[in-house]
Amino acid sequence: MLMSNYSFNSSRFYLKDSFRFFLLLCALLTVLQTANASPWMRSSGESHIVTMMSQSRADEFWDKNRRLQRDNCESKDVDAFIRYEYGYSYYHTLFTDVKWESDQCGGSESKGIPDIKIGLRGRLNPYRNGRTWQASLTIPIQGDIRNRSEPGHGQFGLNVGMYFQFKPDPYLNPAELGQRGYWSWALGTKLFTGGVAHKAWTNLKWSDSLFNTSFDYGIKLNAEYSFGGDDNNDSFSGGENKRVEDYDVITGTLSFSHKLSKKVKGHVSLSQDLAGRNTNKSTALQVGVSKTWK
Amino acid sequence: MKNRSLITVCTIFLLLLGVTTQVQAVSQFKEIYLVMDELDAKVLFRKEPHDKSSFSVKVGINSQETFLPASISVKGSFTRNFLKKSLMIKFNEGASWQGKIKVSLNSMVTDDSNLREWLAWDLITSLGMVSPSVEHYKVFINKEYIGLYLFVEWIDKTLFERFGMGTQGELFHPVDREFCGDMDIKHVDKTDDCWLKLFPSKLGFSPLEQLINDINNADVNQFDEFLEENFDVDSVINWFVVNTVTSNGDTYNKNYFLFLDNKTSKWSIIPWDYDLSFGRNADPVYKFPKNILNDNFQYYYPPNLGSPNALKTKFFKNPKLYALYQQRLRRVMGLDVAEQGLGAYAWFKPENFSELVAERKENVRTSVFNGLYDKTSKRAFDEHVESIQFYSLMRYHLLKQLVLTPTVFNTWHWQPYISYPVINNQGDGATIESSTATIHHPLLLSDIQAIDGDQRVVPIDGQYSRPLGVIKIVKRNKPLRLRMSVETEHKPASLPPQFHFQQCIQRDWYIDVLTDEAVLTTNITLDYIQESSIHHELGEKVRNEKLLQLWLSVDGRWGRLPAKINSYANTLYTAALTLYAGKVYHFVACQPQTMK
Repeated sequence: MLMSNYSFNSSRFYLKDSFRFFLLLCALLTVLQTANASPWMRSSGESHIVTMMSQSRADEFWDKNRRLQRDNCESKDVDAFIRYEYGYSYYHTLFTDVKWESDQCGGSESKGIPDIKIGLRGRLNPYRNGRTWQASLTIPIQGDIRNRSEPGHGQFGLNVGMYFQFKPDPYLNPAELGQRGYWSWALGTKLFTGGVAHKAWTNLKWSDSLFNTSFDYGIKLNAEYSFGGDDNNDSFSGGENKRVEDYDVITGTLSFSHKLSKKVKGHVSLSQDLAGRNTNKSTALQVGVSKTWK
Repeated sequence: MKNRSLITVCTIFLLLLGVTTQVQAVSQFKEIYLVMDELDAKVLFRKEPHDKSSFSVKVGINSQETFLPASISVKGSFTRNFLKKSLMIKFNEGASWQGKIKVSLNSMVTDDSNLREWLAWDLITSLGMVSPSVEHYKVFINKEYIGLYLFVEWIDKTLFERFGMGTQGELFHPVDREFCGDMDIKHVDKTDDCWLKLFPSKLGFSPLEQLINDINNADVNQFDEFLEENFDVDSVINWFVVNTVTSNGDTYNKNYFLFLDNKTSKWSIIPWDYDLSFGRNADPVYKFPKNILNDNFQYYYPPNLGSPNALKTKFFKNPKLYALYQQRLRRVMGLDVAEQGLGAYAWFKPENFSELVAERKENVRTSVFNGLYDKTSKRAFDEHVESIQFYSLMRYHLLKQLVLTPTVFNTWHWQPYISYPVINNQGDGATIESSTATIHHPLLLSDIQAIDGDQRVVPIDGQYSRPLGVIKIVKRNKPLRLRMSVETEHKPASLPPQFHFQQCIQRDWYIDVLTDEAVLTTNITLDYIQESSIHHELGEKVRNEKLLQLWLSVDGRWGRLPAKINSYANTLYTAALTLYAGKVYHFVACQPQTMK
């Protein structure tokens, strides 16, 4: 969840609290995931699980005129996310994910599971991976977290996206397999029921390996934009809310992953909101592991 | 006019007869017919190399009338990166073929001869090792010919049962991409990363960990006793002999199986993967796919070629085990009459080996060019088969002298064979961590051969045990002595005036007849080094070895010789050359300037 918050100037109490959260969340194999899921198709019969946790903070926000303002309450959030993917066949991958959130701002705190997602991923090109479409349903779950002010919270949603990894054809240019760096581009939309604003998003990412083939990094720029809401003249003033319905935000993410064993990878990423309108300016640190097996 | 028509009809008839004969030759290999969805059939070969999806298929083998339900997937590691994939067929529950629920088909895509693996398995089987059945098969999908494959029986419990070892054993295999199945003590804590437990999975890695600890703790001087107690010793000796004969360096940290027979509590070794053998050589610098698909060729590596391995190190240091190894090698080379009749006797004797290769070549040749994913050219096929023949001849003489009749100053432990720095290549050729400067080890090699028959001789240097070439005596007027000398890896001593030394092979060959008034006619094969991109004798301006010309200097005059070039075996062959006593024949090989 890119827009959640992380506390860098955390107090002693907060560190203890975070550590407790970390242990709890690791034990439950829960994690947080970026807003836009991996476009990778699983081999038939292959399972993949990714768990991530995130700590984030925001003590500034952008108002409706894109001016950065000091927030009257500092957001300190912990999110946890778990996703399971299964290669139903070569052509289709099923996935589901669930997220748990705890948001603090001043004295108020809300926590719970806002929703779960179930989805289907398919191939845009029958021969190539990383060129995929994806559709998922967001199903709201009861919990006070649903009251948090973010477009789509507590609503049924339909998420649709397309993903393109621009890797060379492995058979036309086999020598280029060694040159692992490649661009990815994705775009999509999230449509919600209940008359709230919908979202459109797009991102561009550069991925490459560092040192050796088991250590990868990525640099991603993500843009998100709301549309179709009822209150387009809303003005955001920070506080407990993350944003109002009429908003846009650009976020940069630096991510690293390292192969820990044959099946397990570790992931670390740092996200920073770079520009926006009617939204918090969040910084988030995410840590997680993934496992792939058949 | 009528006669002409008759001749035409006869010609057509003869041509058709030829085609028919060819078709009959084609049909000598067994066939596998696969029926599957048309898109799946394309996707299977064209999908991302490391996708592990499987697809539904129906399988008919030979004249089998019923098609068995199964799933098909791509197997292997490196070969996944080529369109002609190695395949794994797994029959659905209740179905099997010859008691097997899996059929493994190797694409042989990295070996243009399509013979290397088959030859290695033929040797392994001849030695009586526990080993899978291996045979060439033609594979068809939806009636379309895909290509020639090597069926390798799946290694499972039924194989061990067939060899009387029961079904209660434990089978381990090093993980291909991890390169750490070397039984080194430093990897004992990561056996689950370095090894696969193929069966039974529930018992874990503790027996293997115990074995690795025991091997590393064993005393070298008593290692023969340790081996006797813990191993089927024959399987270990045979493994090293097979790897020596085939010059297989792609093992010892991967590409073998370890089987623990729980009835005898002894371990056996089952070799695996011989595509990089019989002279083929991976490159430490080139990127994929040239790190494997290259022109590198080498026949003079020592017996311990390959990755370090705790078992191998102690085996070769133990005098009793080394003596057993030499004895087994003598058997395979047909040098110990006392072993006549035992498995693989004289398998590697040049005449026998040559016959074996020639026979199989004719069958393979008819099936390797017309498959949907076959890319082998006729020239590449012929060159590779010829290179195997050449390899065997040179390797035989090398091993005979270096391993079986060494002198104090000439054992393989002393020789500078591994002549390039080890470079950390990540398997897919992605990482290069060293200088790519060419390295040279100039040597002066020489040998004198006494010739008293119409034979083929391979002069071999006494100090380095390095074969110098092949001289076939066509005709001679008397018994004679002949000297051959080679100066390696240096600028040729002299050249035809039109050539710059960088246009030439960095080597001189000399032959002189030492017996007065002797005259002989010979067919000569000369070779040069192209072991890797950083160790070779190609001048900087030698761009295309196929264009090399063989030149001869006698009495200071240069003349060009007709020569056949095998750019893979790195040989130049010239026929019917007459040599006279009292003259020194100096050969060089150069490539003329070509227009870009």
